[in-house]
Amino acid sequence: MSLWRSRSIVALLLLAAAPPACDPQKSDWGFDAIRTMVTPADDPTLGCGLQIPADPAADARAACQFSAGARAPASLGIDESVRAQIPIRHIVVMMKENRSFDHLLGRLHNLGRPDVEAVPSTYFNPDLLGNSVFPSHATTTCIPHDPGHQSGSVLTSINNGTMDGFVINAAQTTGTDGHFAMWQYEQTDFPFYYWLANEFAIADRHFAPMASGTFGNRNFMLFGTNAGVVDTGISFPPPNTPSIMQLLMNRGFTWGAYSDGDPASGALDWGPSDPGVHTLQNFYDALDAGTLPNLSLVDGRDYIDDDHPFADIQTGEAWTKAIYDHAIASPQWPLMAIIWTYDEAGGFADHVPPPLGCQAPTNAPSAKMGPRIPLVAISPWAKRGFASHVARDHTAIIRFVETVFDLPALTARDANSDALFDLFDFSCGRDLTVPDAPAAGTNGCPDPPPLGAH
Amino acid sequence: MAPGANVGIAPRAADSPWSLSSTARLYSLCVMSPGRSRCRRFRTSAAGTRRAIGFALLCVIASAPGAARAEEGCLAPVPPFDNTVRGAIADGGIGTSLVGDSLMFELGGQWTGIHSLRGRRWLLQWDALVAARGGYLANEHPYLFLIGGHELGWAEIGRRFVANNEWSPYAGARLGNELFLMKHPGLAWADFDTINSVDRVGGTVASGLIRVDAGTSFLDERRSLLLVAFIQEELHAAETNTPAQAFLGVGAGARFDVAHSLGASAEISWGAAPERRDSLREFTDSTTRVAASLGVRKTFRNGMWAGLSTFIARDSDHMVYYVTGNVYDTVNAPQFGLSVLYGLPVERFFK
Repeated sequence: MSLWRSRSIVALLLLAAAPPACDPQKSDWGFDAIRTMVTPADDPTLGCGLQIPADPAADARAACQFSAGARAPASLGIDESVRAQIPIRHIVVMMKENRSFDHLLGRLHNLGRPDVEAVPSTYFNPDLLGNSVFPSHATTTCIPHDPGHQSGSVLTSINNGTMDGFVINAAQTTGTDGHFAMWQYEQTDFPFYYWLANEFAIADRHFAPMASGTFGNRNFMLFGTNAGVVDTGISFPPPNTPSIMQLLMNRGFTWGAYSDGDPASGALDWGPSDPGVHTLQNFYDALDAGTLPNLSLVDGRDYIDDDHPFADIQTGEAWTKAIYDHAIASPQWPLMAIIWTYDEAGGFADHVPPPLGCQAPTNAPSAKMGPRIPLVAISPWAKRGFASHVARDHTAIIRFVETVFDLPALTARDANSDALFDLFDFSCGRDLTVPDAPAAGTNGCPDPPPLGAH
Repeated sequence: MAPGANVGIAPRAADSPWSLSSTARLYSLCVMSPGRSRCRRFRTSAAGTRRAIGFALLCVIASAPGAARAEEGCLAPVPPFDNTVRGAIADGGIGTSLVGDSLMFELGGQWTGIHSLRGRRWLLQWDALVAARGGYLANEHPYLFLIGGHELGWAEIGRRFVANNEWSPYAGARLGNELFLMKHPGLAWADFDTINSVDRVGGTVASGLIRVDAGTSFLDERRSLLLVAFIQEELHAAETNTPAQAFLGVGAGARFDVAHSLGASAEISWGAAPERRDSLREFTDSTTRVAASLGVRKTFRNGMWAGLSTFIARDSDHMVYYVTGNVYDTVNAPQFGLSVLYGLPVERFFK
């Protein structure tokens, strides 16, 4: 056999042995069944008139007394007869990227919402030269810098609860003076975002579940744990980690991940061919046709419409407005709840010290929540013009899903979490019509930063 | 008299250089000369008889003056087969797994080889390696530097049941362990949960192996080939994010050695860990592991050696939610490694 021939055979053998996709870290999550599952028909009797009882287990949850497997009757005091009548069957989680509460919506208090947490006038961060840097109005909607926001940076920013390390962290990680970390936006910048926050129910004590970046925080929203992932990089959770997707499928409910970019912002290394992954157009089509799954995870394209610096947030705002427009016109709108939130604060300043999660005390960033981020519940059942001050994190979102669909808690974190129900009012006699929404802002980014800028 | 001979057909006279004894299945033919003796066994088959006659003729010729080569063939003891290296090593390798891509280097010592014992009745294989290890795990920004040590030790003793034949049935037993202690400078062992999972790469990575194998062995003066099937218990200690696991499995392996020159081995295995029951979340999880490895080592005339080794392993989980009956068959990203090694013989240090 010639050398050339033998080498060819070896090369063919190597190709045959290679994984089908050229991604050596690709896992198979075992979700093939979701490709053929059919979303159960909505119960036509669901409607108004439900009263969510007072929360008798709040103290027990605060003491972390519940474990994985806990269900709503135990940890939330919501009996099965009540739970089954919750008029929500389609939950959309629209998780965007890297904006703190103060940064995006901190001025809401001064713009006609005194019930929303105000940024104290005394709040400032020192810079590297010792100057006091107070919050100021952002000069652009496309900030050309991406401050460090992995665990080390977040712990620097939080600075043992003083919340005065954001500017120094931004300076150290971007090569600038870091002052932009104190920038804040106003209604004129994002008229549609501010309208959503004003019109629907906002939570002003919603924290990133861990003091770190995208991957770990998004993992909390899917698994109730960071699954060993602390900082965003190329470390992924094991595919046998129990997930909200598994729990839904166990009970015959469906889910879908919709994105024209990386689903879950890359936290699971999923691509377009993975089970349950669809395009944004598929999402619009499902909204229009009334064929949404029970849980939809919707993500924008990285650095384009996911609001992650250095994207122009107005582009992301327009992306959100398009989804909203399809949603309110959807035949499934009467049983829909959209959770608009951010995965983590992205290194932008917030003045409220985050609490510890139920894994505390440990030294791990996964036991320490990150800075506050916006969360707004958009639904015909969302309380209008309401602000919740209950402290919670993304595990409240999966606790909400678990409660609506009668699923057990994945971990102690979601078992001991609130489930967002103070943001909803299921009583009768409410005006369920939705007023016209303003368009997204424009012209906030006259000089778009080049791709790859930091 | 040959050991084990129980029937003397032609007892050796006091002054005779010969003795011949036999059992029901074997001849033992011994030839004695001052200071040296040689016994060989032959089957009582036609082929064995022919070999015995050949051996006897060789020894008869050896008794003639000037027949040095024949005497060597008759009286020389069977030389042990050996392909051993021992000395300092440097190696480097790349890897990838669920926790990231790694680039690691080692400096240390290794003693590894295969050696026949007691007239080729036994084969001893072993690998002992102790090295300082350091490198990067690219699982966070910028990258995670790890430094520490690596210890590998295993030994297998195997019996060739027909020692005088080139081909022989073979059975062996192996015990082994491997330990990596890889620390990020400035980070306490207890704080490994404050960084991305480094399981199977960093922290304390300990495993053990108990194996019994059986197959066939080819052995002549220059070459050895082992083809075996095995049953093994592979134990992995708990790591920061991974529970302890024990895989009971089977596999097959091949090892080819050329004395003092070349060694090559290949192995595939499959193992299953006992079912793990999560009563809080109402599921069971059974993990299976498939693994394959390949290694080649070339020893040069100057005693130095170079090696190339690679492995791939992949865990699969069968999760069953036993209340609803839902099943999820998941497959982890593969764990892969490829490394090259260069060795300097210990004799170089003690010339």
